[in-house]
Formats: sequence, C-alpha cells, structure tokens
Amino acid sequence: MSDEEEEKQENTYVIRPNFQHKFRPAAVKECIHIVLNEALTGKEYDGEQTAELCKHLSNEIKKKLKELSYDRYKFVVQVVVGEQKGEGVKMACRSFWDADTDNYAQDIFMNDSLFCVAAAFGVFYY
Amino acid sequence: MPSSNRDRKPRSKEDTWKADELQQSLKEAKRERRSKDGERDNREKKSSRNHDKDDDRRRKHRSEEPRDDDERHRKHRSKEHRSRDAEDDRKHRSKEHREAEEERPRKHRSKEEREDEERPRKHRSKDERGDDDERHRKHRSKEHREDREDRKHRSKEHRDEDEDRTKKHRSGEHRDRDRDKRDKDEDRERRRKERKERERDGSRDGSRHGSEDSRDKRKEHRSKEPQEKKREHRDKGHRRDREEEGEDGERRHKDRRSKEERREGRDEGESRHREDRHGRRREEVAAPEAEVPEEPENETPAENNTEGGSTHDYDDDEFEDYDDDFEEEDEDDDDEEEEATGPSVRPSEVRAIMEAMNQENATISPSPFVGQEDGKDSSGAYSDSSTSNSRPTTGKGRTFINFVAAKQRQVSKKVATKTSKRGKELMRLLELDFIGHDILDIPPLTEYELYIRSFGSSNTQQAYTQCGEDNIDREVQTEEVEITQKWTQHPSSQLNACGDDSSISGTDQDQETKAVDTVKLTNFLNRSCQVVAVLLEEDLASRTAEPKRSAHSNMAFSDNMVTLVTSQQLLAGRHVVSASFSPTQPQLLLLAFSLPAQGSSGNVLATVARRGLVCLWNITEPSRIQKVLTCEGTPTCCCFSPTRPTLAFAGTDHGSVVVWDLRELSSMHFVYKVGEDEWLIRSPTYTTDGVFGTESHHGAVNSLVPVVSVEESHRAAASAEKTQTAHGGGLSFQLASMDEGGAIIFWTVIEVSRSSFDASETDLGLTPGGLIKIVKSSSVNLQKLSRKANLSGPMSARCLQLHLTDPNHFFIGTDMGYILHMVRHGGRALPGLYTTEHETVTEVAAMDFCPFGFDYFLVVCGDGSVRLYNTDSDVPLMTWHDAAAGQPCRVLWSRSRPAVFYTVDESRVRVWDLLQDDSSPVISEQLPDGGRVTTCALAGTPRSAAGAQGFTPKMVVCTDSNVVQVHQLAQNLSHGSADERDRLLNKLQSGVFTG
Repeated sequence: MSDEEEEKQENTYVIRPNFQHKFRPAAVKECIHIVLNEALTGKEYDGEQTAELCKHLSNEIKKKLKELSYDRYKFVVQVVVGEQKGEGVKMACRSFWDADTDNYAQDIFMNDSLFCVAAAFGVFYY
Repeated sequence: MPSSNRDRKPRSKEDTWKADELQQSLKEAKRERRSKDGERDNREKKSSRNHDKDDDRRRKHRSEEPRDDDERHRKHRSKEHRSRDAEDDRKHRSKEHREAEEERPRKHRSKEEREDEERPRKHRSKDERGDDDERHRKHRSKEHREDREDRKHRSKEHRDEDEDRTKKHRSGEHRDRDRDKRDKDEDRERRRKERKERERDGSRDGSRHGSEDSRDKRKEHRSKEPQEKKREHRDKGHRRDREEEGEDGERRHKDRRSKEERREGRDEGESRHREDRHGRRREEVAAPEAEVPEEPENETPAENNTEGGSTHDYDDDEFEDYDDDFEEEDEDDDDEEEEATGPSVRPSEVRAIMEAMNQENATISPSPFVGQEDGKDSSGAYSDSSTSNSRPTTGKGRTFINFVAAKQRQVSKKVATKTSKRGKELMRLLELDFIGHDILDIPPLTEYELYIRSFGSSNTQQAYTQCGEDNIDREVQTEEVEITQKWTQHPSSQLNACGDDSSISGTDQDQETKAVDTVKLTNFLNRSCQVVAVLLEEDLASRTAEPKRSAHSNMAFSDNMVTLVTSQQLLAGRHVVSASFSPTQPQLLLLAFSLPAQGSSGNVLATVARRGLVCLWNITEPSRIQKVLTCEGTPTCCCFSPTRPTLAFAGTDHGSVVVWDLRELSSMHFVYKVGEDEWLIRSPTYTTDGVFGTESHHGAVNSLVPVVSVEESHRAAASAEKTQTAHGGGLSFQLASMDEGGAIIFWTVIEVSRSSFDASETDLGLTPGGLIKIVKSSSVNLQKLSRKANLSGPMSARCLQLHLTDPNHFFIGTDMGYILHMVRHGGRALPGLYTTEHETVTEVAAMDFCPFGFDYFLVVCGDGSVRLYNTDSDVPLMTWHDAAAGQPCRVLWSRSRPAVFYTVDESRVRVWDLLQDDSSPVISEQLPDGGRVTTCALAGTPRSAAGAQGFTPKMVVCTDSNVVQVHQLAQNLSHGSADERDRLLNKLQSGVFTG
C-alpha cells in the first residue's frame, strides 16, 4: 500500500508481512536449537572463552536466521551464557511492537557446567 | 483580506484580532489537522500564522510573507498542489530555507548576545558546529527550559514573555489560540532552539552538518516545544489524533508548532520589539515583496541543501527561527537574498531574545532528546538548525555561508523528513503493544539437586541393600508352661473317671504315690472304720443302754444276748436260712437270708426282692449290716473263707456256688435304694451259674465246706492280721460243695491277679473286675460210693463234714441214716459206712465233729436221736434218744468246752455236758421268742476259743420270724476246766455211758 507517489520512487508501505513470511517462532527456535547444540554440547564453562563464544553464537544464529529468508525482518539476537553454579537466573524482555508481525524465539541449552540462552527477536520493517 | 492581513503589523497578543483574521487562523488550524499533508499545511499555516501575527516577521520570513492569509493560502494551496506530486522536497527545502533563514536571525541574536567568538565559530565547520551545538544546546536548553517552565508555570527570566505565553499556553484553547499562538510562537521559537540543541546533542548524524543540524534542531526544538505544549495545553485529542496518525501527525504537529512558534516568535518580536514594529512593518512592506522572491530562493537553496531530507519541522523550525531571529534572519536573508530590512532594528531584539534564551539554556541542563519524533525531528532540526546556523551567520555578513554544509544538511534533512513522514503515515495504520516475555527462568538449585542432576551419568550405580533390620525378632523368656492333658468322663463311674494319656515325667510319680496312698488309705480306713464303728456302737449302746440290743439273756446258757437288727426293710419277709461265723474273726457273721415271703417286700425293689441276700454282720455292731451280698436264687448255705474273712461263699438252691469278694470296692457294685435306705448290694464276684453246665451241681447245694485243715485255719487265724496284703496271699483254698444228689464238687478258689482285667471275658462267671475264681477241681459222685458201700437204694446226702484234722476224709450224712465216709484221695475209707444201732432209717440232720481233735462226731437224726460216733467204728458210741424234740436243727459241739454240745431244734436249745450228765441235757431252754429256729451256729474255733483273748463264744440262733439272737454263752459253758478234755477223752474211750 503506498500513500503517495512522488516523482521519485517511494517506499511501498507493506504494513503486514505475508502469512507465510511471518516470523515463525517455532522454526526460529529450531534453528537456534541446532546452533546451540552443535556449538555447546560437551563444552565446559570457561570464563575467558565465553565472550568469544557468545559472539560466535549470536553471529551464527543471525546468519542462520538470515538464511531463513524472512524478508523485511530485522533480527536482534541476544545470547547469554552463564556458568551453572546452581544460581537462579531470570531473564525477561519487554517489547513495544506490533504483536502480529513481530515475535521472538528463544532456546535454552543447559549442561552440567553452563547454561546458554539465545533469544532472537524479529521485527518487521515497515 | 489576506492582503490586509499581510499589510498589518505582526500580530502580538495585545493586538486585537479581527474576526476574520481569527477565523482564518482557526481554519488554518483545522486544516492542519485534517490534511494529510500536514507538513505543507503546517508550513502554510505557520507561514500564514506568522504572517498574520507579525508583519515584520512576515517580512523577514520571505517565504512566509507571501503567506498572508490569502496569499498564504494560495501559496499553501499552490504549494500543496505542487507538493502533492513531488514538491515535498522543495517545500521541505523551502521550509528548511526558511528555517535556515529563521535561524540566521536567531543566530544573529545569539551572537550578539553571546560571544563574538561563537559567530566566527559558526562559520567554521566543526567548531561552529560545536559552538553551534553549544549554543543550540543552550538554545535548546533554554527552549527546553521554557518548555518545562511553561508546563510548570515558569517564573524565570523570560517571564514577561513566558508568562504571557504560559498563561496562554495553559489556557490555550482553540479560542485563545490567537494569543496563545502568538505567545506560543515565541516560546516555540525558544523551545525549538533548545530542542534543536538537544536534538543536536541527542541525535547527531554524521551526514548532518553542524550548522545545519543545529539550525534544524533548533527549529525542531522549537517546533517540538510548541508541539509538546500543544499536546499538553491544547486539545489533547487533537494531539492524540496527531500522534495516532503518526509521523504525519507529528509532522503536522511540528508544522503547527512551528507555525505557532513562528507566531510566538512574532509575538515575541511584537511584544519586545514593538518599537520595532515600524521597522517590521517596513520590513513587512518590504517583506512581501521580498518574500516572493525569497521563496524561490528559499526553495532552491532549500532544495540544494536538503535533498533527501525531509523534516516536518520545516515550517516550525523556520517559524521558530523566524520568530527568534526574525529580524536578524530577515535581515540576513535580506542581506543575503535581497534582504532590505534594517538589520539594525532586528539585532537588538534578537539579541535580547538570544540573551534570554541563553540564560534559560544555561539554567536548564540540556536534556537528551527522547522519542522517535524527536529523533526524527532532530534530523530535520539538525538540518534546519544547520542551515539556519549557517544562514544567519552568513546573512549577517560576519560569517560566510557554508553552502556545502547547507547542502549536506539539506540532503539529510530531506531524507529525514522522508522517513519521518513515512513513519508518521505508518503509525497511523499500525498498533503497537507492549509485550513482555519471559526468556529464561532458572530457579536456584541447591547443591544436592546439582549433584543429583549429574548423578548416575558417570560410572556409578545406585544400589541399595537391606540388612534385614526390619526383621525384628523378639525373644521372650518366660517360664515354660507345663501342659498336661487329661480326659474325664461324665458321669464318672468306677475307676477311670479321669486320666491322662500322656506320660509326662515328673507328675506321674506324685499321682502314683497318691494312688498308692489312696489304696493304703482306703485299706486303713476300712479296718479302722470297723474298729471305730464298733467303738462307736459300743459307745452308743453304752450311752443309750438299749436293752434290746444286749439284753440279759434269760437263757441259762447265755449271759448276754444281742439281737441283730434285722428289721430293715431290706430284710423284710426274710429269715435266716444259714448262719456262719468267720473262723478267724468270730465277730463276723454271715447270714444267708431266704427270699422274701410273698407280699412282704412291698417297698423293696423287685431286683432286690427276688434275689437272695447274704448279709455280713459284725456282732459288735448289731444294728448295721456290714455288707449286703446278693445272689440269684436262694442261698442255702454260706461260709467264710477259712483264712481271712475276705471271701464269702454261698451255695444256692439251684446248685450254684457263689463267691463274694468282700474286698471289692463299693464302686464296683450298685447302690440300691430300698425304701428310704440306700444299700450297696454286692453282686457275686464269681458264680458258677451256668458256667460249668452239667458239671456243676444238679441240685441245691446242701453244704459248703472249705477244705482246710484246722491247723491251717488256726495258722491262718493266727497270722491273719499279718497276711493281710493287698493281694491277699494265701487265699487259695479248696472248697467242697455237696448237693442233694450227693455230688460233691471240690472247687479251687483262685485269686486272679489284678492285671488281667479281661479274665472275665473268658470266664463268664467272673464279674468284670473280680479277682476270685472258683474252678472245679474234682467231683465225687455219691451213688458210686453207695454202691461201693453196698447200700441199696438211692440216697440223698444231707450234710457234709470234713475231718477237721485230715480234710481228706469227708463224711456224708445221708437220709438213710447212714453216714458215708469217703476219702477224697486215695483208697478206701474205713469204715465206709456208719450206721445206727438199730439200723433205723432216719435222716441225718446234722453232723458235727469234735473240734478238739478227737475223732468223734455227733450226729443228730431226724427222729430226734443224737449219736456219738467214733470215726473208727461204724456203730455209734452213744445214742441219746429224744434228744431233740421235733425237727432237730443242729447239733453243735461246743467250741469252748469239749464235753459240751448243744442240740438245737425248732424251739429249744439243749445243752449236754457229757462229763456232767451223759444221759440228759444239762440245760434245756425254750427260746422265748417263739418261731422256729431255722439255724444256729457257734462262733469260733476251738483253738481260738481256747486261746483267743477277749473272745467269748457265742451262739447265734435264728428263727424264721427273722429274729437273730447272738447269745453269749454262759460262763460255765464258755470256759471249761483244763482237764475236761482228758476226762472226756477217758470217758469216750471207756465208752461207758449211763444214758
């Protein structure tokens, strides 16, 4: 839907993504899960490497998300890796977006020594 | 009308609005809202507003001046039309240009107010930007402060202006809009400046140039201020609409704000610089002329500057800029682009404003710009401010125009306006929600849980075992309970009423001993009871002194007489048939009773009445029958066992020999209730009834004689007490019985051992539990004997007597008057036959041998004669005729005196003493009681009579009236002299008898 057409080419205001192109949390979660599993199984928590690991994970996830070809979607990938010491952890997020089109997916990976949470937010770019 | 408006001075709050002007302004405001192209409308409205209010400003705002109401509208509309297609940029640019122009005068003021250094800095790129930023910041801060103060009812430097403005702002309604607008425009300008500064701080795009950005920002600030104010103080719904519509609305807001700010700026200018109005008017006059050319100029540089950028704050910024820097800008613009206005008029005002702004900014710290709108605005503001920065500086002539920066700013502004516009439009369509997600929630784990999570994953296994602690055994130690089993039977009968079948040791002995004790006790009791009973009897008798019992006998031959109580109902109708004393214990008397006479036994049980009774008496207890023995049939004769009085024998009338074991426990016999008394009637232990069949007697048993020699009996009597054992050793003897037919049967009395209880099963005559048996040992038939004796005719035997010393010889008294002498074993007895003198056939009634060892015996016959025989001769030695009157009963040789014998017949007792008178009886007494004497007996044996201590010979006489009298023989009869025996012997041997 386009509001006004000026002399130059203007954006076509696609307000809603196609149903098929909607951000599917399940698929994204699966994608995240795969990435986390292959990267973290058998890993022990190491404080020095964790920073790199986080970056690497988030990049991986972002790449994979891109491959999912959600067009017009902006992704925000957040990865948190923590050491499993029996502490309680709570993560929450609040977002102000259009609930129809925007969504998020998260997956948790836990083993003896560490836990890893990856959250991917997909925001439709109007 | 618009022309008139245009021509008028810039309107301030003190100005009185004409109605049409008011209406126009209102319409413009409405249009702002309605139109989607808020920017343009706003722009136009702003421009119109500005023009409405401030002619000077209008003049200054060359772009605005032509926007006198009509012109403006026209321009608006034209602009609208133009812009609709593709003139946004131009408009933007124009706006920017305008804003830049506005900024320029602002900057002029600011410069004038502040340091001169800043101005040259403005021209410089970065430094200028920095300074501009600072200034803008200050501006913004000022504006922001103004905003805040406005919102909070400011009371600070620009109160004069602000108060009006605030009042108007607060009370701002669409009605008051005119004044408000004026005030607000002024405020807005300030705020825009501040905001622009803020925006500058907050959002700095690299693409934006400092001056431009600053300018834009300022404008945007100012535009935002009024916008914010608008939201607050004006119709909030109006604002909401704008907000909802989104970027467009925002743009419109800003546009409106900018317009209002411009108006405010105009008002400011008016209020402050009223004296300048003339100038302004002059400017205005010149302005409209200049405005038109300004516009294209504005447009072009605006286009050049902001190609891609678009800010909806264009107008606002412009207006703001214009408001503040109106004169300056106009001156600048005029200077720059045909600005003919007197800058001298403007700078003072501008300076004053700028000073105020700076002060405000200084007080208010620059706050970061918040919100997309601000961001978006900032883009435009930046561009605007940048452009405006550059403009006034250059316009003033002190600085040179940075066209490059301006262009850049323009471009960025264009882009920004585009995006913001787009955003606005989209926001109208979209709904945004607040959504919260819980991404992760791991509760804290205890160490145990951690451990457990990893438990089992390694090579450990969890196994449990149970050591059986649950199996608790308990041992209890108590004393062992002794258990015995016993059985009992009810009704208990005889011996085995109870018993135990297990043989647990330890307890039997007691019982056995008890058993033994019981037996001994019973034996003792039996004996002792007799003694005690006798004593009691005597005591009783002595106490009661019953005469009947022991009456002095009238008889000459007896001293005392004891009558046995035979008045018991049991003995009703009976009479003694036979009496026998126990040879060893002469106080025991056995009486055989006949069957009761017909009709006499009324109350007696039939079972008892039709049976024969043999009663055992103890003479010392005449009132009590010791034992009652019964047998089938009538007992004809009875006797004791020779050695001990434990056995009682009787011969019945139907040829049976009956034995009673007197030792038997009373539990073996039945108790019969006879009348009111209960009698334990003993049944025979052994009876030969039907046992021996033809071998037994065929007739009534006449006599029953134990085959025992006197010596044996004496011996037994002497040792009777010693040999009283439980088993009764020495009890075996022979018994001879003779029936009428003359058959003599010798019985052997056997004591059965206790162990064989079942002996009775084989021997039918033995009662169960009985211990005595009689077995037939031999028999002698009299008929044979009579043939031997050459006797003619059958004979019946009457009595039997055994030789006292030699029991092998036995003598039989027949009814022919003969006395047969038989030898049991061995050859022939001589003489075999004893006859009478005259060979009279008489019945031998009784016989009695001399107990003193003389071989003499007395015979009494039925004719009443008494004969004395010597066993060697068959002819009597002496015969006394008429010795007995009537039917003689018995002849008894005295056991105590050898020379005395008694003859008892039916009614009399004759006492013969051979030494005294051998012709006639010495004493002849008539029994007083009347009745026929049935039998009589003498107690004791000669030996015992002689040697027994405390024993007085007694004689019992029984009558058929059931009177039994026991006579204690007289003294002279009981005791003889010592040589009596010899004398008698001499006499007998001499055979000289007088009688």
